[in-house]
Amino acid sequence: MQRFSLRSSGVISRQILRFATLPLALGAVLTSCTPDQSEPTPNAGTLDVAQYLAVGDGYTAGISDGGLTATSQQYAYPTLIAQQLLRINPEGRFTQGLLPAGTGTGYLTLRGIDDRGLPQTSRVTRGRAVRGSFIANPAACGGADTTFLYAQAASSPLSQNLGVPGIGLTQIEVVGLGNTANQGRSGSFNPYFERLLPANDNRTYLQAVTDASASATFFTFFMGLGDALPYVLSGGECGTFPNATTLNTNAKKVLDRLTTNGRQGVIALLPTLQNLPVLRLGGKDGIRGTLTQGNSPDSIYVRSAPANVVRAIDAGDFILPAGLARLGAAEQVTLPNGTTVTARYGLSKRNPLVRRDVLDYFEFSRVNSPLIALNTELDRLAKTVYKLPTVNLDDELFTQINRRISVNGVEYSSEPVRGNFYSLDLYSLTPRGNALLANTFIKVINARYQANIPFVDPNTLPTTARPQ
Amino acid sequence: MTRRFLPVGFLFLSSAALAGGFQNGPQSARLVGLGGAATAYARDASAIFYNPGILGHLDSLTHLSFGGLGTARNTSFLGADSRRQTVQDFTIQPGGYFYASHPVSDRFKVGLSINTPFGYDTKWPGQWEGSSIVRSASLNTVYVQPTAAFKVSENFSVGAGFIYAYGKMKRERGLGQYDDLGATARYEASGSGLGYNVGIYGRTGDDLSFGISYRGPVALKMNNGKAEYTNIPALDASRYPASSGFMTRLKMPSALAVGLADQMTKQLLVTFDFALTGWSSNDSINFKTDSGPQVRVGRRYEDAMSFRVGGEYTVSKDLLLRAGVSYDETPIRDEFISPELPDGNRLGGSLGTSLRLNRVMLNLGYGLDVTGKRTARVNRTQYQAPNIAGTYRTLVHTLSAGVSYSFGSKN
Repeated sequence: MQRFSLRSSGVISRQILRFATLPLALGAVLTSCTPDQSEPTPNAGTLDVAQYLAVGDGYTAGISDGGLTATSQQYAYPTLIAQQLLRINPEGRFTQGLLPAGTGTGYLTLRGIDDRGLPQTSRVTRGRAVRGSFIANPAACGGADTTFLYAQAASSPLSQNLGVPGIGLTQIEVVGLGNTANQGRSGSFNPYFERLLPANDNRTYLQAVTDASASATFFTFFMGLGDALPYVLSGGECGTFPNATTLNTNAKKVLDRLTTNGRQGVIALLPTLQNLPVLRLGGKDGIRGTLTQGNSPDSIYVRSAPANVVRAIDAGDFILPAGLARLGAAEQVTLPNGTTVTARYGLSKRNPLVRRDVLDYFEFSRVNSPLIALNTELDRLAKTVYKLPTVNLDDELFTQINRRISVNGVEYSSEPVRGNFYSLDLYSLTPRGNALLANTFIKVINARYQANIPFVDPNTLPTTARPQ
Repeated sequence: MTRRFLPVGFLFLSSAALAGGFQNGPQSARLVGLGGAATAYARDASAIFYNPGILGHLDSLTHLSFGGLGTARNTSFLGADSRRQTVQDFTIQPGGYFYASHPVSDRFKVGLSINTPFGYDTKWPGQWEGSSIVRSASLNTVYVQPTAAFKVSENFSVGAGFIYAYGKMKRERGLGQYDDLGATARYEASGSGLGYNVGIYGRTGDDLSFGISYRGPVALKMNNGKAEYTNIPALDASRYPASSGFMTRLKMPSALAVGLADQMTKQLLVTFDFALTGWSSNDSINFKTDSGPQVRVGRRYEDAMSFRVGGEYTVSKDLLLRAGVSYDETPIRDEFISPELPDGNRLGGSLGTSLRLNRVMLNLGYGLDVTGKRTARVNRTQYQAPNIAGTYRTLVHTLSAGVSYSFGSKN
């Protein structure tokens, strides 16, 4: 409780006489009716913010609603951090490889919300920033795929946002990852990296980081989820689960380059996978509990890896959104003896959830354990090797979002659509989610570097990066 | 013989409880100048409200006093996150008072008090950073109090009044979860409540008098509330119906006051007040809506004390000068400081004068309260209690002008 100090009654009466003249003095200057509070001048403390370099994957690039667009790039968390730094240094520049205005790589749009609260989406391909040539990749997992080449960004200097959708720590030393010569080689080509580099450039991602960091004064590092997401999103059917040793070794390689000459920065510790709605909704803490018909958890059946057997769902399994949307639908199933029966999808042993619709506990463990090990290693490296601050995204943001937060009267949660944090793909963030992510970094910078960088007001940003 | 004023020699206690919160300034131009130290001040008909006991000791004239009151409460906010300052829109909370007292006999007097003891009018710029907490909020009240008092002896009297109170409230906030800046929630309700007011007044000598008064709490029952939600996206139209009724209760606090008045010299009267305002009945705001989201805003006010000292100097029978100081404790705890009513402990000073023009007394008073800086800290994970972090500074200006008139004959 704030209180004015009141000492003895004698002092009071003297104060009283003194304050009796107060209305005269202040009344005379009634022009200033409201007490003014001076705004503190933002400053970066001991951090040199002249040139910022952001290193990461799709989260850093600004993927939102299942795609990268010129708009979603403008709301990527590094861009928002850079905008706040403009209040310290109005001359500062943050050059990133933007797609042409109004274009993108396609995105999801909302048709409605189903009875289970899941967003019903359609993919929009209109206005794609596709370059003339593309090739089909018949070897892609889940059927023949088409790899597009996207509009190239100015490659000199390199983008200060080196966030590349789909890149993993395991790929940082793949030669020619951004060279169109490799566009037919699955896993050895990334079109998002390609568009940031000059034509026919064979540099690895690690080399690009090294080159871009030469002129950088500080960095943020947020990598690791890119190694897990392809595997997670395909229910463990596509992509490979990362190797823990490779993750740890490669993270150190990137950080070694970023920290040369004592360069300062912030290292992000990853949010846990099961916090992302793409898993959480179909996990035991999500809406799955309400989907079992009756009290018995045995009433959902899955086809599980690796034995490919049909079994009752396990508490550690995650039903992916596509499976949740289809769960319970009455479908015609042909039995081995040739007869056709009606069986509800996932609720009958005759029509279990297919492997692509479930990340079972075995698959989850394979992909989750290396990430946990990576987090431990990142924390160790930051504390003992680089002496740099870490931002614990799980504790400081993602877990809070799961429990719901209120920012200046507006609630943010992991609820699809209405939660305003996760975009329609249920793992990437909305512009407002990116603002909260940027603030989590800014908070750590302010604390560690005695800086005073204002926070982004998420409530002033759009709830989605897709065209309305 | 016609007397226009209450006898100057009276010192009394008046139960002016003006402590912070959403209490308006002293409800009389004379009391504004005195810093509100009214519980033992027997020279003004406002005593009917501040201490019904005084009414029994008024002289045998009929007294009328009425006037207007304007309160400007101006707050600036410095956002802890944005590092930006926002200044409230300038508003003047209008108020007014009417007091009449009439002797039925030498020992028995009746009176009527109509005034506006509670209210606030907060307006922030439409798209300020806290607009999803509150954009504007206001409360206006009118208290009507018929009162009777009995003079037990030459040195002691008691009085009691019955209170009928009417109040009207409005609240508006943005729904910042939507892209449409026009998405808004508006609440409006009015209602009435009953209460009472009792007081005693006594003199212990020629120069010293005292008063004790207690005004009971009043709950304004508002059953006609209307909640309106505008510019809601189609997706959520069923969650926020365009219009819905609601019920609520607003609690006006009780006040216990003791006062002393001392005629220190022939010209100088000094009055002291101590009051305890029962804000703790204000636990939360609850809107029970027929449809759409329920509204609950925690307040958890604390009882608050106030100290007041006023002096009145009689220059001549046609001119009186006044000055006062006051200290008001705020009822609002640190963890509940919100932009709806960013109140703080207040130190106030005031000046006033009375001029006689023929048979009428013209009364003027001005008071300025300086509020201590308040800091709101926010834990965003406590989403049930949304708030915005930052610091508030507030100045409260109160200006009042009125006339008083006395007529009849002294028995």
